Amino acid sequence: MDILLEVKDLKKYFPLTKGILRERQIGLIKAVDGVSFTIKKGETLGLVGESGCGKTTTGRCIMGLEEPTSGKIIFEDKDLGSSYGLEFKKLQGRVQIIFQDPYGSLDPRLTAEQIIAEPLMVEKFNHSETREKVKEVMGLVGLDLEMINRYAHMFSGGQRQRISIARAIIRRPSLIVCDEPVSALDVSIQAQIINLFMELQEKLGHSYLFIAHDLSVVRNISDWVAVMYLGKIVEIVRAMELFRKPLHFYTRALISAVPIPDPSVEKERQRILLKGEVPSPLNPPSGCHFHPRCWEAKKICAEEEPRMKEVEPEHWAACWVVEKQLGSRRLKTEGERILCKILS
Amino acid sequence: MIPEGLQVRDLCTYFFGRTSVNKAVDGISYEVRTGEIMAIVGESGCGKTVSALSLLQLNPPGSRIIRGQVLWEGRDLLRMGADEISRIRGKEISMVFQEPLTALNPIMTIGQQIAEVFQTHEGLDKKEAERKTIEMLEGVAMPDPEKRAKSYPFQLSGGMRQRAMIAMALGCRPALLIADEPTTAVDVTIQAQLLELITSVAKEIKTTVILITHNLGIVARYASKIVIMYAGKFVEKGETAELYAHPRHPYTISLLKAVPRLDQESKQKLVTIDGQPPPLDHRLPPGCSFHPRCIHAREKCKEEIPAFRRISDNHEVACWFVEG
Repeated sequence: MDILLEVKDLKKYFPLTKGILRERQIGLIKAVDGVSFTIKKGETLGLVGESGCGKTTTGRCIMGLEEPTSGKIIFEDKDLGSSYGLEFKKLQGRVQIIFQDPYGSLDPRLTAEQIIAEPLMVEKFNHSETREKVKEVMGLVGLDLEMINRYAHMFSGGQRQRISIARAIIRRPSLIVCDEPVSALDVSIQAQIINLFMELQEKLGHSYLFIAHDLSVVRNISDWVAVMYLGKIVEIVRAMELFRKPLHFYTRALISAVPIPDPSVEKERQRILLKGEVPSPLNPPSGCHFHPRCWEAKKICAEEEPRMKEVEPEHWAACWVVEKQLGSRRLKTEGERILCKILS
Repeated sequence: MIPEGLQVRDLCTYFFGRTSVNKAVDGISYEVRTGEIMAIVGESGCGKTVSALSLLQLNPPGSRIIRGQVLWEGRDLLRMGADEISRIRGKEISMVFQEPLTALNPIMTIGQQIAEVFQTHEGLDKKEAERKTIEMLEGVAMPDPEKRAKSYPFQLSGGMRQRAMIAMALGCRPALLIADEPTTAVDVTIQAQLLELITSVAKEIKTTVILITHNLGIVARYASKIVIMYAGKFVEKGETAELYAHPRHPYTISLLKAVPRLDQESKQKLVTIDGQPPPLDHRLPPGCSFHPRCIHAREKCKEEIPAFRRISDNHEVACWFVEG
């Protein structure tokens, strides 16, 4: 399948400064530190990780909302390169974004129509053409056409998120970056929006970069899942395999921390409790960033940084231990353990 | 004999506006036995937090507890005077709140705030209280407890703040712990640490726990009993294993199917519940509050409020459809 977006060794460092009159740099926050992945046409890549791991910054770099420190972003065969701001304008709305907070991301002084039509302003459409287009996308996202002249505050959280989605799809982008689009919503509304995301993709064929902290949601919507920890991607795997065969120890801990809403399954699950909290990205640990919390950490993990390797077909991980063990014998994963238990 | 545990009977807490009444909590009843972990589950605005705050007469300004009984070891907490109940708060019954940053005092160090609990309830002097505070912080796995005790809440991460709050809540070995969405503001790996901590300590010191959450996974993992709340009322209650295996109320059934599960096939369409949760001003429809969103709703549901009916030893439901 064709590759839509390729991100190569993307880095975004934020300088940390001190002093008001004479600002001086006292450190560097490596929010995104060498991230590479690809998104194919019509597919969804889910980006998960805990707060502060750099997933939002990654999305913002792709959107052109942050200028990357280094790295390549190749979108539809065009290198967005160093003159990112300029190149980005040429994208002509091929990339759109949906934000987390449906309350903060919509202008309260605009009507639904004005919000949804905003991306069209750069193109020369007359009033009736615009309205026609707005009506069409409102229908696609399941908004009542009678609400076209209402202001944002008159909508509920779920409806606001539908407005954000309508705004994102009105120019038929090929990539939509979704930054925690359902985490502010209640369970019953969340399910509606997740389904809507999947239906729209079937109809319009765009790709998503789906950024979220909720592993179950991400896995449900994605074809591929990339797990991020402290500015780096530690594992990329097909969504289907994520639960069955996690390899990186951080991924395993993350999965075991997510409870499954079924007491009979929960009783059988192995629980991994991680030590301590996520270290500060200002001063990340040496070698593999995860090694101070990893229960399998070896000497090499503290010394050298592991590279991403395709350790199994279509399964990449950056871990010394996994790399070594997979060379000799394969590890039993949680899914397999459960299966063995059922069968034995 | 004094009945053990907690019995809540017909608790009603209403908010009074100028023209409207918001029945945030409308006649809920439940029992929790000593040492049990009971979860109250519902979407935002369903009244689960107000119901828990009302137990300790901490219901928010603008609301009034209209009627009901909260029997704790034979005493009615709602009939207690201010002095009497404040001796119970933080000692016999303590709370962990959802957002530690707003629940903690911003101008006191967390050490001072935790020590205050020991000084007030256990009559310890300042030195001893401080020593015990450090011990507690160590116990809840606070990194570098001596330094953190001197920190103000804003200097700590969300996880550390919640650890401090848990230390404060568990400090006097409470017999009942009310945890209101204790992990909604923290990351999943920290969530697992904190819940594991609360539940294992509670088991050790035989503390009863009321866990308020919207996360059905957490309930499945930790709670032995569950009640489902919708628009100020309970719609279904029972033992967790039984209720998950055989949910009966249409709301519960759809709720369980609306959550994506890690162990399912991916790219699955989720079951949705049409419409919106009831508005916060609670202009509720007559009859069963869920009927406008219910696929099984019939005439009777629009007219009469269903009462709880026992369908097995450990499972009750309030629904006309289940009645048959």
